[in-house]
Amino acid sequence: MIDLLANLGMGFSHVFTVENFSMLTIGLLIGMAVSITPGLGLVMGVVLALPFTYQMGIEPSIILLTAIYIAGTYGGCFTAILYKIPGEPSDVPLLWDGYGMAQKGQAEKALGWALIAALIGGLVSTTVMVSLAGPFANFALKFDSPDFFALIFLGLTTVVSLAGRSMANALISLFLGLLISTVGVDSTFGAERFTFDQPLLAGGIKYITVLVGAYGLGEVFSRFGEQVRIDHAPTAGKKVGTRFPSWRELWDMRGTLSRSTVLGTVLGVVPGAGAVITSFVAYGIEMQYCKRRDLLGTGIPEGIVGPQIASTASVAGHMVPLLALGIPGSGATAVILGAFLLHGVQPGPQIFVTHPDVAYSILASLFAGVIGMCIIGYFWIGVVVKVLTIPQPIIITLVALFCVIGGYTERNDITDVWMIFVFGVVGYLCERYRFPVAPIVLGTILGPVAESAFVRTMLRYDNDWTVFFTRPISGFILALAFVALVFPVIKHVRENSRRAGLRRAAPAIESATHNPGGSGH
Amino acid sequence: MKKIPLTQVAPYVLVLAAAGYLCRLTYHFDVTAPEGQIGPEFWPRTICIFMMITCVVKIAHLAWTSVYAGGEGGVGEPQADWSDAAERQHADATLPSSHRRLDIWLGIGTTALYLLAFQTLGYFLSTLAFMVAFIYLGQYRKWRTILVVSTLASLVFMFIFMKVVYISLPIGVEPFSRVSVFLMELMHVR
Repeated sequence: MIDLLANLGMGFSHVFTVENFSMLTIGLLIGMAVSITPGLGLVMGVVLALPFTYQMGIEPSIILLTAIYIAGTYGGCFTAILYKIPGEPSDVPLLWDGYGMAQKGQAEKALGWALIAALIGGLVSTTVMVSLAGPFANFALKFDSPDFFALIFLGLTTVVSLAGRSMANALISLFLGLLISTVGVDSTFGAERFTFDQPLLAGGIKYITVLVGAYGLGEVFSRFGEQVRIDHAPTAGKKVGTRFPSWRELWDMRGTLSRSTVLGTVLGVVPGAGAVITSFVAYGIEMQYCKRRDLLGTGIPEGIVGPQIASTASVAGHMVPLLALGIPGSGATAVILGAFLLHGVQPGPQIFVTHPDVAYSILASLFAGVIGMCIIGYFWIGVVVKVLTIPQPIIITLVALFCVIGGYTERNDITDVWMIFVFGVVGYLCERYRFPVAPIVLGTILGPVAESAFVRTMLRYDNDWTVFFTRPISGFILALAFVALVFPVIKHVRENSRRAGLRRAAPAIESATHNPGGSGH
Repeated sequence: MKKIPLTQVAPYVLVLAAAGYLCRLTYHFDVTAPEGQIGPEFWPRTICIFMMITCVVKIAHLAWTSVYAGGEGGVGEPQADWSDAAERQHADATLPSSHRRLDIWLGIGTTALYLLAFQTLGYFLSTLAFMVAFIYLGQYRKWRTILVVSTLASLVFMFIFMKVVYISLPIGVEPFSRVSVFLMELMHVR
């Protein structure tokens, strides 16, 4: 414990250097701005900032990206509450009660509740996860290559299974990402794969081009020509501020506060359960256990506090497994993993041994980030929501420009930008035909790591694939992966049979409605 | 009995064909595995096979549901899910206007033209032209704002990248390079 505190102290001393603190502040502002702007979102914010980190050291780079991620889970609450525009999908539950409170003339109180929720959720979850980071890493040091492969496999499957929409589409996206990662000269055998005799492809497809293209430019194309109107909001044109709840009100909210904090922290550890799922599940839990559940949806604070706490709490839940195990649990952490790899650092249990200063600076920056975003949210809310007044076509054009120049900066080579363009079109087509982009990106980043762990295992264990199932750690993790894959299928089958039952029952209900006397007369 | 919806099935058929083609390519890699060991083809081939299986299962599922259950799932009809509900509501709340596919392809074409002109016209002129066209095609029609924003953004980006981050942006060919060189001199970029 003393060691942890000493290391955290060292981490804080790094965070408060001029360079790191500037990056933290800039990251928080960018995170706020992108999460407020419909069509951008926190993942895109992290993606767009990534090319700017080429010239930076590892610490300021990761602090910048992490700050964008943290602030991205909070900033969207402003527009959800004030204008009924969810900046992020995770802010959708805030519409029901947040905007409801704004309509009742309690917008400032609603913003106060959101701030308190983000602060409590962020700080408690970060404290819990930081104290678990060491044990996590120590446990992971016992891992062998089959265990690592199983862990990566779990990360991939859970993200796919929680991707929503169609599981088949998510799987296809994932396979596409994994295939993209195999293009080029293979690192183990030196074989050229899928290069089509093009020197451009011999070096492989960099995941940064996939990230910036599919996430950034793809989203620009998808949003092209769309407008957002805010003049219908009850608070439009008025000066807004934040009003904190009283101690008494906070005490009355203790049930929601504790339930949602625990939920956000626990769900955050589950790969794939990002801020969207945690905020929806938290709202669902409140609908079952909150004292005033009958009033949920009409504009009460419980409907703001639950989802906001859970979505902010999920950040630490994702960041710590990324640092301790090297497994990203969400789109944003996948990009942050990419930033680590760009700087030649592989996150995982070894990072606490080889780069303790980096690891603890990032953990300390989580605390500083949570507090910082709340301070910015409190004082600069009026300025931050001004982003909404910038016309959407101008915003997406600037984003497109970031993507193009960001792609050009790495090697000053226009072919990189063409690759980004191609993946932008792919990203748009994926969006158009409802194939999720996140699994493509995750597959591209984790593909080489997964293949390397798999091939190493097969070479070491004489092609004995049963080793994945007979080793206790990998066997247990693969069992979890199996559950993660099968659970949505079972859910889908049950849902289908329920719908089929309803369809069968519909004619009978209809005839009974039209013929209330029955057939006995 | 209903017909199988071709528009829903087509993407999976395309992916299936592509995966089949790539799977075939894995038999022609220039390095093969030593006897009794897995080689460089194993991993991509396995992925291709899983991809094909997923497509076949999905096509069969689409065919089954459209013929016997009245059609559900697939490309056009997403399944209910937490994140799905969130995305739908998010989209409903933020995207009141309908997608204009022609506009989107115009936007994609404009971006392609921008990249084609990037090294010929140089960074500044190509970016200025791109921004004006992209904002205009994006349904914003206040010309004065478009020109001011495009000029300022192009200059600010040029200053940041060339003066602060030391990235060498293309200056273009004669006579366009004269504009870039003039601006670089104004910004004291060497």
